[in-house]
Amino acid sequence: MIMVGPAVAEATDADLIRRSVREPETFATVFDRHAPALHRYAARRLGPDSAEDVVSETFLAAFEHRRRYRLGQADARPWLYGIASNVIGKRRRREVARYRAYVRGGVDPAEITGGPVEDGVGTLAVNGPLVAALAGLRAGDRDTLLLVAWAELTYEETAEALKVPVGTVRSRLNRARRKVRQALEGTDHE
Amino acid sequence: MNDLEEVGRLWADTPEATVRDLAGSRAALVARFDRPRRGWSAALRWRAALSARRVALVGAMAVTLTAGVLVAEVGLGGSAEDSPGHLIAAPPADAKTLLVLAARAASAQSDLVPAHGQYVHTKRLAQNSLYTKSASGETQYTEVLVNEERWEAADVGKPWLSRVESLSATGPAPRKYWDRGLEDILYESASCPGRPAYARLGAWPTDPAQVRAKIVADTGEEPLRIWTSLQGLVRESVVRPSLGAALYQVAAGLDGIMLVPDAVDVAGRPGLAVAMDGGDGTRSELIFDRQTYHYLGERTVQLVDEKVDVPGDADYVARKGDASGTAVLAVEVVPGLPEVSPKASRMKIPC
Repeated sequence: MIMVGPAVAEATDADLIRRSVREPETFATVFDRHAPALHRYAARRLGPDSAEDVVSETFLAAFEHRRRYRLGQADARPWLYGIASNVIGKRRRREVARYRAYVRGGVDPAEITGGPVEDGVGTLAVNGPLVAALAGLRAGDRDTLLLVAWAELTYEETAEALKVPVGTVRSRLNRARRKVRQALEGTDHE
Repeated sequence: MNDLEEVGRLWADTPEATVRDLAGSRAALVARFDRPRRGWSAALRWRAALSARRVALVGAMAVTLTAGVLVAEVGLGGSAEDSPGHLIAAPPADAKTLLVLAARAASAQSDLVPAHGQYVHTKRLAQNSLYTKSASGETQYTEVLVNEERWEAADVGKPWLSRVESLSATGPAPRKYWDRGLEDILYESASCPGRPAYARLGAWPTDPAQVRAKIVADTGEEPLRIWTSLQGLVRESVVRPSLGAALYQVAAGLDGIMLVPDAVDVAGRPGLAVAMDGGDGTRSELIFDRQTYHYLGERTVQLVDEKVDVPGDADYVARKGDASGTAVLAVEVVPGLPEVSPKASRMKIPC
């Protein structure tokens, strides 16, 4: 007999990943939970064409290494975004080239889904220096900045994702933000 | 607006991907579910790297499962007088002979044929390895015994249930890290052909050559990969002994198999095992009853101390002798699902 109750307890990511070692199909639920947002994050960094590849590579790698998931961590996002950061890192030149193409104004608008900032001051004049600053960051600083600003991970989650101490996240973020501020101040003075 | 918010606004209206956008990635992932990984043993280890300050030395004592095991052993056939083992005085001399005998024993069993609406219920005892860290950063090993049950519908399209419940642990890990109570997952998808195992295995041939060809199409000819695939299939094929018989014959033809004359399954039952070195410091075993040659379970044993690198501060050392695996306790046809936990997770997994 099946008991039907209105309240359905939701298994944590850790529960699903542990279970998926013997029941691989449960890993599909981890995909369904996190792939849409991870795709968006990858699309913002590399463009929509590469985003699907990043998602695919990330989840295949995650599935292969699921036995080593830290079960103490209920939320799989730091783990998944950490893998995604490595996957994106292999396309670093493409990412930087994309930012620079945008700064030059030569990017095909269709490639940047939704366009840049949409409000009244959302012009290339404002965003160009910002994107140029992103392009000029060290890879680790950019990963840190964008995991916080775009993936909305906490400092601790970012540290977990990038396998660095929280102190390193703070220092990387300070460095990246300083460069971003400098870029924005340069815009104000123009 | 501060600088971080400015960065956050860049391409902020990029939409999340739709199901259609993700269809290709999802299909690639799902296709991987049935494919064995190179050199990956089937054993489950809980590689939990827990914060040192949260791990206390609690000295948990094991709770034995003797009664349950004995009942199940009888249920699985025991050592009947007409069993192959009863007719043979000496134990098999090598792994190949053991597998031939196991194939013969499996051939003599009938496949379970549930009627429409019925379910195949399997009950296993699993031994999992839980790794934690002490306050000083030293790896600590806890052995956890888990009851694993499945109720798989005879009919495609019906829900099926997976249940796990930790029973006991031996080792220092605090109870909260291994005891999560009774965990039910009710799979409501079930319009996928080939899931769950009962339906999938029903489509497999039972001719050993055809079975081998089907496995090799996925794994290639490397014996270890074939073995890894076989392990998973053998574990599931307890519901279909005719397929098990073919799988044992395929295993008998593999280079690298060895006989373990004094194996013990995770339920403590002595047996004979066919094993293969995983090449990664582990050895995986298929364990058979000493007399009936019926399949008892599988186990993976750590052969050497091995430092396992886990990203972050989570590396640990798997010690020689650490073991994990499963023991089959019951396989039966039942009329329906049991009462499902009110806290069950319900999952609908598209194909």
